[in-house]
Amino acid sequence: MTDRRILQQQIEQEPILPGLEQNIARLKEIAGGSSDLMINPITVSGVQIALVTAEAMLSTSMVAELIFDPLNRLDLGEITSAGLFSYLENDVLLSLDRPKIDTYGMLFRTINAGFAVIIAEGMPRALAFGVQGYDRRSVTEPSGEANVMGAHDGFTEVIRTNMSLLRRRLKSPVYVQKLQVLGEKSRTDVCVCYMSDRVPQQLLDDIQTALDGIELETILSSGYVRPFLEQRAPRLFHGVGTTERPDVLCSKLLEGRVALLIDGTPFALVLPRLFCENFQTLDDYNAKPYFATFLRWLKYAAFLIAILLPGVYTAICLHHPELMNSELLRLLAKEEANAPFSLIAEAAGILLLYEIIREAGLRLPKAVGGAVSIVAGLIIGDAAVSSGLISTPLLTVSAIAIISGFVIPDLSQGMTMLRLGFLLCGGVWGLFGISIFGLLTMLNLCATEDYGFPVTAPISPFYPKAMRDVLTRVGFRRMAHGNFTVEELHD
Amino acid sequence: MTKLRCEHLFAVLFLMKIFWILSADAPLSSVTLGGAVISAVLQAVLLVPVVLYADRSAAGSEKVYPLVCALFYLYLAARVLTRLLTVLEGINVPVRSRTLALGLLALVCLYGAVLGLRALSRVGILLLGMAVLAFAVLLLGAMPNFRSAELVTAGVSGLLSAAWQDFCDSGSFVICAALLSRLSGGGARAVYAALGAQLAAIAAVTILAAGVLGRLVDVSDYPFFTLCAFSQPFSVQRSDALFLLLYTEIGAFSAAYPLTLAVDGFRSVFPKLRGAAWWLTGAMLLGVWGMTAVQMEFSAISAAAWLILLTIIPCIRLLRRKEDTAK
Repeated sequence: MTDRRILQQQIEQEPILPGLEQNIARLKEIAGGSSDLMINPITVSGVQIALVTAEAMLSTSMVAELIFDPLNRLDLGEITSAGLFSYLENDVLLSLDRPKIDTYGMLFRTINAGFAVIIAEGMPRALAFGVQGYDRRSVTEPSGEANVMGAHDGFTEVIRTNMSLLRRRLKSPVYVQKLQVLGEKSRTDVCVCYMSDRVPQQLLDDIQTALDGIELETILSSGYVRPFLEQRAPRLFHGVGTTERPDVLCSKLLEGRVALLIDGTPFALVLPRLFCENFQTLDDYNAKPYFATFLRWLKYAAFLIAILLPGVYTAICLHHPELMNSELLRLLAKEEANAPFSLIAEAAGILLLYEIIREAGLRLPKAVGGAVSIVAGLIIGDAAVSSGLISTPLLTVSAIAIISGFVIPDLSQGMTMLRLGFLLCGGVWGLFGISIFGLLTMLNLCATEDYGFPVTAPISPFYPKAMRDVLTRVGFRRMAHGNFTVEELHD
Repeated sequence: MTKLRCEHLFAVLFLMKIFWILSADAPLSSVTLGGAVISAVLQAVLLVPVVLYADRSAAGSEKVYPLVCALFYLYLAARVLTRLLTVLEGINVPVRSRTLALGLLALVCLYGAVLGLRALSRVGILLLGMAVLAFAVLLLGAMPNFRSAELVTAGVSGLLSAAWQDFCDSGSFVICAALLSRLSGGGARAVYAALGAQLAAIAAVTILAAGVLGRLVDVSDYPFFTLCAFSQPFSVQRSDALFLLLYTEIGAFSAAYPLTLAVDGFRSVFPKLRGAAWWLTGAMLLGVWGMTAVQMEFSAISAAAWLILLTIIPCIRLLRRKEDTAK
């Protein structure tokens, strides 16, 4: 174990010194001279105490109202430090959140989380009062997962706000939210959420074991935690889902799944995740069943078009032209005759160019972002086709595939790689190559299984009851009688 | 031991038989259908011992039976690959070289063997769904061209030969010897449902081929693919690509599954064996090379394995068990 880690662990478990001056000196030593550590020694009822806070983490008005005012007015006569602490703990309620502190690790975690901590002469522990007031983003609509008729609030970076968004929707006492701390340096709050009356206990235990096995120093986003919850073998698609929407998360919790809220990120993790859920949105449940069913099948078709269209087009053009309609073949032959590059190179070039433009659009500052549209659309799209560098049919096919992929943004990573893979296999080996790659993809997908829940359920293994929300979307009157929980899909 | 569901067994048995139906190079007629019926009845009777004997408790104690089964599965995988390559060449699916095609198929089989039976079994369900969709497309294209006047019986000459050929092509049922003990129930139902579904599939393909192709079915190299070529649901675009894709995938799956069973069998007999998936894939490739070199598939081996592994040995065990119970 490295020295840094040993030192970290020592500080975590080091008990608070009873002497006030020693305590203050030790706090400054541990903080390493941090400028945002505020220590204010004062005397309250003849007892020497100090108020320890982190600058800009508190609400000034709340601190004044809940801490300063009562302390300044306190007159308990002759009282010891222990007596003062007993009075503040048991006889007055200065705040709702009052964790017990007896180590420096806990003390620093609380002040860095926005608590005000009181230490006193002769007391080997401290009192903490929740008066958080740091700047935070307000609850707004999520940037992804747009919805027409659903709620317009989304998770934020503050875990307690997110917990409240869920609690507001699930008022039942069987809905449990348990906080724990992960990350040696970041000490990030992670909340495990579940419905205790329907969650499989084995799933909870396995998830807790996985969380206990995380040895990261910092956890800055849900992406840090996700790989530890999934199986180690390389898989194309995730077995752990994410969502920014509290309403979606509540619907998952009601099916017996487990959710993880992570402080500092608006993306909650949901396990287990099924592949078919990528094609479901909350709007499906606000629309009429026939329209929702139509949209579902549209999405399935869009997924297949997104990954297969460029590859199949290239395979048929290069290796199986006899399978093409004669008019279409004549048109394509005429267009491709003047193209300077091979069909595979053209197709791969267009797809890779799209990925570059997409990435550029994400990373550029908003002020310059508009230039990406102009460059991509006019210069690359129009000029390249006019000059004959790229053929129009291929550009059209690629564009259709790319737009189809927009319908299922959760699968964008897998779809991008599959699209390129099918293109290369189809271009080199024709339909035979596409079959081989398709089978390899299906094998990989069917092998994806986390905590005993195959990601291809309920199609494979086949559960007829669950088909009502996969192949179709039946009405709520029928679904209300289902009492479906995810435990039924355990293989 | 990997636990499976009865729908997995159904899907695997059905798909492996479908592969042989699609690969048929003999004319499809009432003789084919009659032979299939006789073969199905025979199989239904001969399957009784193994269905009754699916004994989970014996799984860990035996060596010879699982080893013999594993060797047969290896042969089955090689036979399927040989047939697949032959048919692909016959229907002019352009692959740069046979060796390359074999290499790619072996890669799929190896990957399946590494991932295990459960993943492969789930793929079977997906392929079954795709097959159902493809059949719907075939029906859509075939019905406008169907002429019931073409449905004539061809007499009984060759009936036994057709039954024998169908029996040999049903060698995949030998996988029941390994799979039935992995099910927690419903094995018999799955096996007989698969048998019934296979018969229905043969009937459907035979009737459609006869009704759509007429006399052409007698001169066609591969009647099923000729049927697909003549059954186009849309005038603007051919649908052959769908069947080519599906056929290749079913073929690769039908080779990967017995190979994985062989790997499993070898591991159970030789627990300390490492890299079994790799060297058994190599053995399978040698088998393909050998069958290609001598231009024979030795289909009679399937029939022999059927009888020995699914009927004779389970019968002996059932009798022994009864004797032990009586004592």
